Amino acid sequence: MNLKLVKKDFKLNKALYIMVLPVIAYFIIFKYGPMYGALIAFKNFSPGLGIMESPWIGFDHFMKFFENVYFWRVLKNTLLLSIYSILWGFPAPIILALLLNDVKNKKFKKSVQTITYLPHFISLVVIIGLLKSFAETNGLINDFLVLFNVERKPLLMQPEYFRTMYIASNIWQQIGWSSIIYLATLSNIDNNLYEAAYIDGANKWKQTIHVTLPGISSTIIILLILRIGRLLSIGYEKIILMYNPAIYETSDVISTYVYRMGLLNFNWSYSTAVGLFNSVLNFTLLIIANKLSRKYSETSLW
Amino acid sequence: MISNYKKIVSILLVTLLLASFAFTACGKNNRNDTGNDTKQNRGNESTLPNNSSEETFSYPVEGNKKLTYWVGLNGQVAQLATNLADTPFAKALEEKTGVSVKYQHPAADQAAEAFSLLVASGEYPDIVEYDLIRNYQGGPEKAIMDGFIIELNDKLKSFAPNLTRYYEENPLARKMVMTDSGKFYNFPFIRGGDPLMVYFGPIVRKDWLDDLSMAEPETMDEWYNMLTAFKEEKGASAPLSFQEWMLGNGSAFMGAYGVARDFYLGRDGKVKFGQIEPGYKEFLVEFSKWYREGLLDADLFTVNGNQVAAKITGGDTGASLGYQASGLGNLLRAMEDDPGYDLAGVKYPVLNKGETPMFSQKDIPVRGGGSAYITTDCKDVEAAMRFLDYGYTEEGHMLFNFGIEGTSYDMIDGYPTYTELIMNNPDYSPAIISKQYIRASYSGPFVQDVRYFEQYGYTFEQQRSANANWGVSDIDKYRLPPVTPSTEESQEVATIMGEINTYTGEMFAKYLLGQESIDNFDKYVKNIKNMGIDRVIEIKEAALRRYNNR
Repeated sequence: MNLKLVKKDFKLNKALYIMVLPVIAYFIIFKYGPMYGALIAFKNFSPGLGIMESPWIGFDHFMKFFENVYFWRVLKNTLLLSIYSILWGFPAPIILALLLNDVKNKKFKKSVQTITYLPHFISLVVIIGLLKSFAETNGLINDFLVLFNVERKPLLMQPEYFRTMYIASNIWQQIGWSSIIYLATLSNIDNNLYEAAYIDGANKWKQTIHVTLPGISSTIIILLILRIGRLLSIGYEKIILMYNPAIYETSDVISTYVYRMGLLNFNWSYSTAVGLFNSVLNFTLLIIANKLSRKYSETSLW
Repeated sequence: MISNYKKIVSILLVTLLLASFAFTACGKNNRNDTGNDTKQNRGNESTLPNNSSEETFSYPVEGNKKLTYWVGLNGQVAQLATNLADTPFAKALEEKTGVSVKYQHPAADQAAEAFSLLVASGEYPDIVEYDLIRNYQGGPEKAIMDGFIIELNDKLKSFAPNLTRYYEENPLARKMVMTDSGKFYNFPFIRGGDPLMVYFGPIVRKDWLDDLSMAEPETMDEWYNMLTAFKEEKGASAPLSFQEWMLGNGSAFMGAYGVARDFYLGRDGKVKFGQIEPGYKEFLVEFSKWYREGLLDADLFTVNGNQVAAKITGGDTGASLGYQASGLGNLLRAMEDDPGYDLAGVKYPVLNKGETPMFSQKDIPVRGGGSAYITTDCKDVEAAMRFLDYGYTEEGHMLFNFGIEGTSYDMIDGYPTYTELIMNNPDYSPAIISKQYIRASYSGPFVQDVRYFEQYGYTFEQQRSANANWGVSDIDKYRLPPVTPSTEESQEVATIMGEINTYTGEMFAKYLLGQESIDNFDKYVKNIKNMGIDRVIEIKEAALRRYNNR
């Protein structure tokens, strides 16, 4: 019975089915296929034996990680860095988009947009190179701080500044690029709404609160949920380029730990277990975020 | 505590769910069931015939053999060639051996990850050149057991007669390359003379010393006075600057207090870990004083090589640690136009006048780096071995060390002399152009010749005296020989040392920057003991006994 329905539907929407095929193939080949490799988290992987033949050892690798002296620290660092990233990094492009939306001078608007996009296209290695020399004792940032009677310090060697530098440089790099989607949504808001609000006596601020923000709220929430889903998957590349033993205290996160243990120490199984743990946490957070959003607003992923 | 447990249990349950889900997605990769057997057979079959051909064999190898060869492309080779095969060296090697080789190179600076992924992939080229001792957990013995590389014992005599002869003449090299259970597995990079093993040490601004009428510093106190003078009289903003990890290269400064940064043999003949010894505390006290007083570079943990070089040439820094060629040599070359500028390599610092330094950078004749291995996927083991053995023949020795006669060297009075093309090239420094013709200026499967170093290593007179000064030490007595723990032991060591290295690295920074009081040193030692350092030392002791019994 059901099969018949599917057949009928297929006949009707042949083109659509064919169009979706590559997408499904992509997910199967590149996303679901490699997942079986996660098996080695529960095995003592040896390349000579291969994934299937390596001996099972259960949860040993997980227990080893939980008992590790650095477990709480890398977990805390990962969570804090992610939460602060969202706290400061997420609203930034929204604010930029709102500001740009009210700029009437076309030329000025375009140049601001171009300038804020640009860093997105610079290689991370170059960005960190710049950042490192700015943060030196005799670097640009210290030159500036000295004007306010702050003592010169090697900034990238102070654990307390790492998060600030990480997040600030992230915002600088991504703010323009991320604001594009909000600008697009903003341009869809009906102008009549603004006029009506104006006639009702709403000033610019009130218009923003009652017309603009509700107009883009669903976009904001969807993006926020997606962002939370990636909460713990901080790119390790940037941290590895930035950190040094002097600031491990705040900069060592799960993914950098996995990198040091797995790829540099050949502990493949162990680092896969830690990575898997990271993914599970991510997955859980995503579900919670979605639940909360469904409860308090009409928007949710599923 | 209980709530933590609950959390962990629930997390594990989800993980299990995910994993069982992932299970259903698998299906391929059964090839390993049968793959293993055939691999082993492949290794053995080629040993039986051909034994008789030993006497009559001569290069080139017959039959248009083709091999694949995985090796990191040296950064300076890469400046003129995107693949090793494009260099005149590789072309000459192919012509002489009759074996055509396809080189595979990992992306620059990612060799470690690329190698790790190569091993995990299960599909190998015929030959791999990399440092297995340092970068393969469990070392060569494990690599053989894992089915990554093959053991060469029964084939060495027949297919690598030249390397075998070298071993017979140099029993120490032989002892260092074999594993504890007596397995041979590589075509090693061998340094053929003492000066070749010394190439790193302290460097100071000689002209500043002369200006201040100071002698080259020997003791820690003299170093302190010199650096203070550099700061006050010469206006150096970072009198002593180097990249922090370089302290591990010869344990400079801490060596004065009788400790090395890593493992070493103490005066009592026992294995020691330097960073928990009392001497290390004394070093920390002194060094953090230097930092506090601005004698050490404030950016010690973040500076890179270029920044240090800029500081040394720019007058911000008057003392450093560096390599003989890429450090001292390059700096002197950069400042050639300034006749007043002069650098000198000085002895490793000691505590009291007249002492001999306990530690310094001095390599052992055979390291893992530059060694070539034959993998289990190699179908023609004889061709691969013949190809690699060429580096140890007389003809191959000349090619690897001096290149092509008439092009890169001429025989003058029986001494292979590099031509102007190498030593005085108008476009490229010797470091860059030489690597197109020879491998002596980096590494590879051959015996490095002292005569290479006499010409190449001493472009400047200062390099010759630096080499002599840096070589003064008792390191041969206190160095831990290249021991190889067993597989399980290595895993244990790696897990424990992973934690300890993170901790000691971090604490070194904290002590130095004054974020942590050195009065807490006992607690620091206790923490490291809790992490299991005694177990690691025990493992190293046992491995040392096995090494001595080889």
